Amino acid sequence: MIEVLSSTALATVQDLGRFGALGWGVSHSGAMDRLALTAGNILLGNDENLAAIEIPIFPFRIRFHHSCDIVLTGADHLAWLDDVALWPWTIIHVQAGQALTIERGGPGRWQASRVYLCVAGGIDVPLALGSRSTQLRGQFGGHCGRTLQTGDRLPVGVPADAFRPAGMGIVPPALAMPLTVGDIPAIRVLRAAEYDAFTDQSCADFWAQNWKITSQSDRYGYRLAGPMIEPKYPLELRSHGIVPGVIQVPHGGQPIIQMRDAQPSGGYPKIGTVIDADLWRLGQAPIGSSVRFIEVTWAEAVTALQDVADWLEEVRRMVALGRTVQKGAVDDQ
Amino acid sequence: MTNDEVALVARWLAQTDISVLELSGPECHWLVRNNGGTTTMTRTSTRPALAVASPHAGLFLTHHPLRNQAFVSPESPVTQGQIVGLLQVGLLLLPVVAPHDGVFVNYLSADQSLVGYATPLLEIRPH
Repeated sequence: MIEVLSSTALATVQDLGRFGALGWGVSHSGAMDRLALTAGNILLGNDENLAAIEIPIFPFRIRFHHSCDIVLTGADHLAWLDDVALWPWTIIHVQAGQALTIERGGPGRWQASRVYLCVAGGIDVPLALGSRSTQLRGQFGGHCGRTLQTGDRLPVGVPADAFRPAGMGIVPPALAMPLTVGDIPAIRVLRAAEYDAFTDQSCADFWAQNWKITSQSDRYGYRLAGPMIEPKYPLELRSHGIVPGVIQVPHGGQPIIQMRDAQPSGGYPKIGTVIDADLWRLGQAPIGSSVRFIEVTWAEAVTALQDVADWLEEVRRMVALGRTVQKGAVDDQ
Repeated sequence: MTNDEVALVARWLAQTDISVLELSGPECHWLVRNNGGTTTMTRTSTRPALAVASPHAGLFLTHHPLRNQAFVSPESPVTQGQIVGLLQVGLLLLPVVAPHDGVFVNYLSADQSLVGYATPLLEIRPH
């Protein structure tokens, strides 16, 4: 059992998402940084789809009411277990009664926004439509269908029978698979259906300029600020299906990127779609930071997806190897 | 001398006009100061620093890949089991931990250097 001590808003229980329900108007939800969640679960020997706590605002404080193993993945923020400093992306043994505090910011080399608290056994909230992810719009899933509040007590599942050596970790994907234009984080984008309906200048600006992630950004969507994106002629579309990653351009000329809690339909013209392989990068981009878009082909997008799959496969392989090595060291003592 | 014995000496010292007493032994040095009846005791270990050897081959890291600051700095206290370095093997990070309580002296292997099994990585002076 985990008890939330802080009054931090916007922390939610998330697994990899809720799929197959778009037709009922139910969005995917799920972790904004799916690589962080998956890698955390691999380190802990969990099923890769077990739920964790996604924490976007700090400080965040919880108490563990039983001994367990945890990993903090995603953004590198300063964290302590009672008064002992913790390292990110590393297995940590927790004793019953200890309190975890995660503070904002840190001396990190990767500017990111969301921390994932992964627990051996996962956050064991009930499945809703096949997922433990919080569906904020529909107010179901996760913990009571809402963000976490002070005093919430979250059940933890039974851990898998796996050796979890304290201190073992992995190199985060942001370092293993960096992507920037100059020193600006970059996101790869496919042209979308209405791309050719925008002026040549707008299209050129879309690829060549920095886009700031405004404060009107959340799990539903990121509103960007940059040069005006203007259509060649007035565009009126009937509402149609959209998915996370779709970049719409409303009448104001400032793009909106649909994120994991996005509604499943919309009628704004679409200039591009963030490739699935890069949604985790965008999900970690802090409000106020800037990103650049890199145009890719379908084939390049598929290759990028394979690169992510290869990275995860390497994580599985190396974590299994690490368990063997560390188990041998313990047995030798 | 044990801590209790030095504390007893410090109480005796508090009743005298002696302002400083130094005691040196095979494993530590004591400095007892008497400031008008209020004494302070400072213990400095004189035991030789012990090298921590690499438990595996790998790329030795003195700081976490996401951080710019080293795990420990010279003369900082360390506790048994504390992570004081990492060995990177591919994308795997294996911990190098302090084998005993003490004071971190220095790194003996450079950050980002490739090390083999049993390579001396760092020194810790036991308490």
